[in-house]
Amino acid sequence: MAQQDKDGQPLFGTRRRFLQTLGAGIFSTGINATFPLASWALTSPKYLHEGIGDYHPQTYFDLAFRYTPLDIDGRTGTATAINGTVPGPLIRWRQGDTVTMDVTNHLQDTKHASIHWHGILVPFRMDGVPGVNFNGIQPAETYRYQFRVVQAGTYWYHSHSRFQEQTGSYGPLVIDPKDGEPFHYDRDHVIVLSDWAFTDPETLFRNINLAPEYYIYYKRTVFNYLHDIRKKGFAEANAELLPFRRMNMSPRDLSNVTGYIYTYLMNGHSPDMNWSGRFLPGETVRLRVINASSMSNFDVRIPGLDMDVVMADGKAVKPVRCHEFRIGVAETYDVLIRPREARAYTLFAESLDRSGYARGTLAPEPGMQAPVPPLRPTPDRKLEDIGMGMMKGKYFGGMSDAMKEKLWRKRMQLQDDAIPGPNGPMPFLPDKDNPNVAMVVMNPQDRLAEPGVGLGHDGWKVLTYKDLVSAEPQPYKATVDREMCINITANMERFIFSLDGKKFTEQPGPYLFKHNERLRLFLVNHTMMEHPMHLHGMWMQLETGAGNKEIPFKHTILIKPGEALSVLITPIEKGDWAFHCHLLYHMEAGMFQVVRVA
Amino acid sequence: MKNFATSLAMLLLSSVLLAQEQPPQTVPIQASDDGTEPKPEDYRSPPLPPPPGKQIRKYAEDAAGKPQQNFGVIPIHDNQKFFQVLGKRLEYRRDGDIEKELWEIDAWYGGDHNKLYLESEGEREVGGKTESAKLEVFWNHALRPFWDLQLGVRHDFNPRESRSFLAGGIQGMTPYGFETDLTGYISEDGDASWRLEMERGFHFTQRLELEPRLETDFSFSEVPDYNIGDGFTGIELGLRLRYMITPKFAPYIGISWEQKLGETADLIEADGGKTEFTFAVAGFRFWF
Repeated sequence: MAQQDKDGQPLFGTRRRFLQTLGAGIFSTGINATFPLASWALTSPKYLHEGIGDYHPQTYFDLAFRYTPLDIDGRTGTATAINGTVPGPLIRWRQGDTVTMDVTNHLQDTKHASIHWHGILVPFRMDGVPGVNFNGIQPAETYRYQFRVVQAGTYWYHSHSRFQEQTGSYGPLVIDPKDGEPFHYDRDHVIVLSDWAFTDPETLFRNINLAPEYYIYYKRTVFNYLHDIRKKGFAEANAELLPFRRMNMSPRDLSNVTGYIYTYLMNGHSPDMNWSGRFLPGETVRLRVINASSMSNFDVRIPGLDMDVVMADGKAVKPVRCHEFRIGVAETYDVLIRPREARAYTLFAESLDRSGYARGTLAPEPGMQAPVPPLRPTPDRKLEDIGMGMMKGKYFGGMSDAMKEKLWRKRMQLQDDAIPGPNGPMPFLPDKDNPNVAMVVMNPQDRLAEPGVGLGHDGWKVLTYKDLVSAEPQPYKATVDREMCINITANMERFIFSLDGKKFTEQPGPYLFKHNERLRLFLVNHTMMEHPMHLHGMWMQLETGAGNKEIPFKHTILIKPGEALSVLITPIEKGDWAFHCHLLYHMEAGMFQVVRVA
Repeated sequence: MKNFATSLAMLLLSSVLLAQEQPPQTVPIQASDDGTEPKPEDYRSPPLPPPPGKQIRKYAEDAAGKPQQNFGVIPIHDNQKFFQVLGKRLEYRRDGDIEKELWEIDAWYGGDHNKLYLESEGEREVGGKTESAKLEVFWNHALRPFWDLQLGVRHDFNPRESRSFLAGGIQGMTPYGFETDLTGYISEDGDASWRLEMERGFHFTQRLELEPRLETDFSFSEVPDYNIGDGFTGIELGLRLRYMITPKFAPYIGISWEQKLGETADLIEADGGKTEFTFAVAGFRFWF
C-alpha cells in the first residue's frame, strides 16, 4: 500500500488502522458474529473503552455501504452499515490537511447512496446531497470526496439518500485543530446517540403518514383531563386545553416516532448493552456528544456530575456549567466533566417526549454501574409555549385576515427587543385555504433563554441557546446587508411539512443567497414541534443578543414551537446547498429547500 | 348687502380660478422625434431595476420556476402516493331476534392533495338478504388544512332496484376534533338529499377509546318507491368502546340506536317494517 498518513506509518500497517479503514465488522466477527460495532465504540462488561486518544488523524478513508445484520437486544435487523458497523467508523482528520474519502455503494437495490459531512465547510461538489451537489453514488460505484479541512471540532457524517440514515448510515467525525485544543483534557470519548427501529423505514414513514399518532402512546386521556380539573379547576383546565382541541392539536405533539418503536442507542449500544467508557478519578474527560438520530431529540445529563459545555456544533464556546442540555437531532456538544470519585456514573439521554432513553456508563473499573434514573413524565405543551398565548380561554370565533394583519402590524411596532433588526421577521399570512399550513403563529417570540418543553423544572441548570457565547475568532463583518425570513410550517394531520407553506416540490425555485453578503435570516416556527433546521455549506451564527464577536456558530438550530429567531450568515462558497429540517421524515415530507449562493 | 356682493364676487372669481386650474380636456399626446412620449418637467424616472445577478430577492429565478433538481436527481420525494384500506365498522348487530351484519369500508389511493376515494357501506340480515349496499367513488381534493372536497358518484345496489347519484361534499375534521363527512346527493331521477356522519374519539387509556357517532339523512323530496319521505328520514346514534390491539386492528363493542323519522317512518310502517332499533353491536376496525 503506497498510501501513508501524516505520521509516516503505512495506512494498513497496524491492526488499529486495519480496523479503522476496513471496518471493525470484519474483526468483530471473531468476537461475536452478530455484533457489528466499530472498534471506537465497542465495549463489553469486561472491557471499558479507553477513549479515542489512540485514534490518530488520517488523510485517506475507504468507506463502503453494505447491508449488514445488526443485533440489538436479541433481535436481528438489517442495517445499511458503513464499513460493516453501526455507527460507522470514526473518521478523524487534522485541520489543514487535504483529505480523501472513497465511498462505494454496495447496496445493489438502491437508487443511490451518499455521505454528507455534516457541518463541514466543503466545496459545492463535495457536500454529498444527491440532487443538489451530485447525482448520488450509484450501486457498485465509487465516489471520491476530496477537500481541504479548514475547521476543527466534533462533527458527524451520514447518508443523505432516502432513509439510509435511519438504518445506520452515520458515524462520528473528529477534527484535530492545527494549533492545539483551546482547553485541556486528559481523555475523550465519542458519544453517538441514535435511534434504531426494526421496522422498515418505508413502512414507518407510511404509518406516520396515514396515522400521525401511530407510534404515540402518551396521548392525553380523559383521566388527564379530570386530573387537570381537580388540580387547576374547571375553568383553568378548559382554558388551557380546549384551544388546542379547537385547533385540532394536542398538547402532546412532541414527536412523531417514539420509544415505542425505537431503541435508543449510545455508540450503537442499547440501554441494556450499556456502553461503558473509562475515566480515572481526577481526570478531565471530554465527551463529544453527537445526536445522530433520525427523529429523536435528547436531554442529556450525568447524575452527580456538572458538565462544562465547551463546544457547540464543533465550535468553541465560553465554558458554560450546566447539569443537563437538550441536543437536537444533528447537533453536537462537547462537554468536559471532572469526576473525582472512583464510582460509576450513568450517562443518561432521555428522549424529549420521555418515551425512552439511551444510556451508558462512565466508570474507573469494568463491571461498575450506577443507578439509571427514572423517566420523567411526558410534558404537556402550554398555549404560551407554542406562541398561542392569546388563544387561552378562547373557545369560539375566529380572527379575520384583517385582524391578523392588524395584529402583525402592531407586533412590528412593538417589536420584541430581543429579536434583532429594525422590523423583525416579515409577517406570514398564507392563503387560509392552503392545506399545507395548519397553524400560523401570530405572536412568535424570542425563546432563546428557555430550556424548552419539559425542562427547567427539576431544580438544576439546563443549557439554553442564550448561554452560548462564541470563543472563536469572528471572521465575518458585523454590518447586515440584507434580511430574509423563512417560515417553518406544517400540517401534521396530513403529514405535510413545508417552508413558507410550500413543500419542496412546490417551491418556485431555490432561495437566493449572495456570495459573501452578510445575511440576517429570520426563522419563524409556526408548528407544534421543535425542528432542528440545518444549513449546509456555511455557518449560521445565532443572534443571541451578544455582540458580533460573541454570537455562536451553529450548523443546526433546534427551533422551538412559536419561536422567532435570527441567524447571521455569510455564504462563503458558491453553489447550491441544502437547507432542511433534520428530522428525517419531516425532510422527506417536504421540509427541504435548496439555497443557491451566487 | 355689501357682504352679499362681496361673497358673490368671490364666488365668481373662485369659479373662474378653478376653471383655469382644470387642465384642458383633450390634449393629444405628441410623440417626440425618437418615438417616446414627452415627459412633464417635474417627472422623475423610477429607480432602475438592479442589473441581473445583483438583485436582492428571496428566490433565484430559474427558467422553469420549479424546485431545484440538480444532476437529474430529485433530492426529496415529498409527493409520494399512498394507499389505504380502512375498515371503519365491521360489526354484528342484534336487537332482540333481529340479527344484522354491517360493513363500512373506505379505500383510497393518492398523494397529499388529491386522492381517489372509495366508500362502501351496507347492511344485511345474518344469513339473509342484503338490505342495503352502496358504493361511492370520489375525487378528494385538499381544500383547507382539515377539509377535503369530495366530488363523485354513488351507486345503491340494494334494496329494491339499484340507482345512481351524483355526489359532492366535504370530509374532514371540525374544530374540537369531530370527524365529519357531509355529502349531498342528486339521484338519477332528480331527487336531492344529504347525509351527515360525525364521530369523535375520547381516549380513556392509550388503547381504550370511546367513540360517539352520529349519522343522519335528509331528503328534499318524497321517493315512495324507496320508502323515503320528505325531511329528515332517519337518525342513528352510536356509542362504541374500542380497544386498540394494534393501531391497525381494534375490536369494539357498543350500542347503536336507530330511528326512522317523519314521513319515512310512516311509509315504512305502512309497509309493515320496523322504524326503531336499539342494537347491541360488536365488531372491529382495521386498516392496512
